[in-house]
Amino acid sequence: MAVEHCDLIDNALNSEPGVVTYRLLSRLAHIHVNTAKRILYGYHTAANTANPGSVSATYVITGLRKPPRKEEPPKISIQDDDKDIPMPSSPLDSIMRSSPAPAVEDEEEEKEALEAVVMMVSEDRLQETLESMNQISAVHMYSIQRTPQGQAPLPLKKLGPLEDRLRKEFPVKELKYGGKEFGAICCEGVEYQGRRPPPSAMPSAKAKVAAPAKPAPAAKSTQPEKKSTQPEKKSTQSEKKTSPTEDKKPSSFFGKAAAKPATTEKKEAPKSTVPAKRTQADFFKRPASSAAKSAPPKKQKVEQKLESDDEEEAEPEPKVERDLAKEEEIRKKKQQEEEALLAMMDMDDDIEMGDAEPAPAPAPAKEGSPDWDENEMKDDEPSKPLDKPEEKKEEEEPKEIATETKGGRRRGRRKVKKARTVRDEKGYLETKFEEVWESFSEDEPEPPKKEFKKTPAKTPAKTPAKKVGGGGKKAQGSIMSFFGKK
Amino acid sequence: MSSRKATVEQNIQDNLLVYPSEEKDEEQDIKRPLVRWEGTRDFILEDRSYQQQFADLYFIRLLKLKPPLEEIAAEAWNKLEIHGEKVIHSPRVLDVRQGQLCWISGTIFMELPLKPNILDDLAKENYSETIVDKYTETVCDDINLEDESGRIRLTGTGLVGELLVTGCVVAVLGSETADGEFDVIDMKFPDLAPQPDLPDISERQGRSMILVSGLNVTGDEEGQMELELLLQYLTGELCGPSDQEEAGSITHLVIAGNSLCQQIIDESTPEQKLKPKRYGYDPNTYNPKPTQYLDEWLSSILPSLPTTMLPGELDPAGYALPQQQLHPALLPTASKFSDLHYVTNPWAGDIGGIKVLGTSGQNLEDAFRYIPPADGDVRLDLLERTLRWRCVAPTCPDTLWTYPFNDRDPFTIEESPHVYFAGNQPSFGTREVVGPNGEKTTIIMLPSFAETKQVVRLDLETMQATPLRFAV
Repeated sequence: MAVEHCDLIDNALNSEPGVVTYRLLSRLAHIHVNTAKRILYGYHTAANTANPGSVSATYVITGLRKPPRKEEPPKISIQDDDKDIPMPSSPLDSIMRSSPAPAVEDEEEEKEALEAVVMMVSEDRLQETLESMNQISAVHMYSIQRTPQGQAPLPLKKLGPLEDRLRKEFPVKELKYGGKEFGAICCEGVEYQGRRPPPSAMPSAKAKVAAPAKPAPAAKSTQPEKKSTQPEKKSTQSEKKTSPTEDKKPSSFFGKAAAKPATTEKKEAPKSTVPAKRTQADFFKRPASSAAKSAPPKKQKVEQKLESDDEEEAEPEPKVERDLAKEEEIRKKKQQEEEALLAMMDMDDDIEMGDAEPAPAPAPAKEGSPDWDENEMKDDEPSKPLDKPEEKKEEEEPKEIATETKGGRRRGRRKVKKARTVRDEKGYLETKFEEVWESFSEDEPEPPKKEFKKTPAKTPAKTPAKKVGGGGKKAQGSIMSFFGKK
Repeated sequence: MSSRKATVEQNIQDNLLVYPSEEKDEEQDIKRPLVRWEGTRDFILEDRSYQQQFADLYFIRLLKLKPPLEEIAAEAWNKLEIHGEKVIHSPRVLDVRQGQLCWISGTIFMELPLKPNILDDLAKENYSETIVDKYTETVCDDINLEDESGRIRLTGTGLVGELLVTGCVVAVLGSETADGEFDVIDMKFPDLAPQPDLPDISERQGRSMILVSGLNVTGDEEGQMELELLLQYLTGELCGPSDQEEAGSITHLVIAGNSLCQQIIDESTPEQKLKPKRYGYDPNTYNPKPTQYLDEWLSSILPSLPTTMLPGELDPAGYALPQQQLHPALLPTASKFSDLHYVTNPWAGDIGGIKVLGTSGQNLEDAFRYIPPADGDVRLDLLERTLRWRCVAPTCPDTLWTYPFNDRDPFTIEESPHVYFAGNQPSFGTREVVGPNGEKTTIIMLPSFAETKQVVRLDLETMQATPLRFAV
């Protein structure tokens, strides 16, 4: 037994959870499981010779045995075979049993009813169990753990979760068993079809840090991500494009958005010199990443509108240089934000995970595929100039602005016509139809979202009250909220 | 003591309680052969229309099973003379003349006191079906034979000890009594359907298949160790070299239903009480642990072992038979493997040339409810009977929820399988059923793994099934 194996076991025994199974050892030391089983034995013997009882072990035995009478599996051992098989309820029965005839019967039974079994036993029951077996095909050590001062070892049932853990720590490479390495049997024809989805989100953030001078590609690279997270959004994309300002807001409600939208409204004149491109980058970025997009991006946005009026598709590269420092700063912020958000997000959200995990690899991939990215960009852009003027007018059309935030839920605001009944001076009731901005979300309203509903500053002053009443009109709200305890 | 210990150790085939050897002879590299897999589409519902009536199912079943049944019955009875009286065939149940010795064929219908009745359910305002263990406490005395023309009540010695359930198609020999009942003397079944040949022995030699049902994955600690042992056994990591070689001979794993535990929401805990009561699906009570664990568990097995997965009564796959395939989104990682086959329940298919037919057990469970408790545990006999009746689930649609097929009866067996199993049974059981023309089918009752910790290993060479227990 090599020294390095001893060290490995030592280390593993000393760290959480303090149990070394043969599988763990085989993976740590990159050895065949059968070798690992033997090494465990060697370690266990050596440790217990030096300090008896310091390390306890569990074993796995396979073979044939007589099935136990009761559900209590290996309790019965061969030593007391004669005594405990009958377990008679009446004395008469016991007399019958003790007579020679039933003994023969028992023997026959023994031959017939042998049961193949894979058994896991603790150290103290090993010998007993081995003797109870009629035929043993293999016995090996399953795990060892330290038991200082006669401390009871972990019960066998508690070892299950360790395997689960092992699986997570040592995921099967390429989801294919390598055969020889650990000894797992490989089935050649089996294929794992869907490889992990190509990563895109995190890499883009990183890439940007690396090459801050090129915001345009950055923006592009984020686009696939957007696409993947919200396929249904595609339909509303053109509408969305019409009013970047609005888009901004839903996404920024996480931060200190409350006051900001109001200011954007007023900011009709160009105030910032930041290039349009960047805003787009912002825009295409994770919609939910928010707080970073505070004042400066907003200004940019307004600017962008104006710019895009005259520039349209020309996407000017020179402008990019204007504000490198600022950009860099913002980007860093954003990246932090993103990371925080990622952490916050549900870990089982597949897409986000897929994006987030394999950070380092994908940077080249992004560079490799600028062509289609560009195409996507172009596809998106033409709609912009068309809609822009209208948007500035007064946002008259009933539009819908949807963004996808946390966990891929769709939410946003849209314009709806609402009937409003007021009592005029003469005391008559008067019904007016007004257009009102209303926020909606596809899924059930969560507390934060409720706050959000109140925030949009563009909505006319009266809306908050309205919205409560208009709840029913909101399409696709979850009915579950209706049943909840108020 | 020490001498005994020594003998015990001598008897161990692979003793790995030894120091690691220098030569690496134990590091065998076992490769598992990938066998052909094919499944029928008979049980797949293309468009689910519920406009039609269930009666069509009986009609089609009778239409399909009558010819082979009448062939068998005619051969046995047509030349028969009892007390000088010739036996004649009465093609229609209603054409039977009183006192005349004849044989008739039709579908059995049994009226049992505790059978669920749709009219009762309608009469009571609140629909609630309580599932009873047995539909009858005593021997049933209201057995009827029905065909296209009508129904006749069966009595007589020929029925004693017969296992009958609603929906099976039989032929009976006897005569009509003065009460208008049919006094049965003898009974015939369609018996085993024709069977394709087993693949050549060279394709089966040293190969086996593992069947398991009722994994009941909870994702909790409880019962997890056994699942892990099973996993390690299947992937060939556990045990010694000889066992590992044996594990390498396994060519397929069949999971017959109830893979996931039933979600029980404990309403009594204080936290549960505090939560607002929700109707229907409540995301707050969803427990992702079982599916997550099953996904990981399967993903560890699949690179090594192709798997077929039937849905079961407790699985999220609808209730009515045939239960449709589990949705791949349930097990996202495992579903990406080329050799995880989600199939229907019941399912018929071909694994490496072996014809397999199996269910997750509802058919047997329900048929068993027709048998009075006094008859004891006759599940295995019933399983054999369903094969001889050529009907996987005869009690569909009477007491077992079913899709109302009106163009076919997928439950009729047109080709005898080599292996026929029913999952989620209280205990293991197996038998070889031999048909009139030498058809041989291994029938297996798969025990629920969660309860017995047993899986069933089917040796494809001998076509014999043996249980394998995982004990912790």
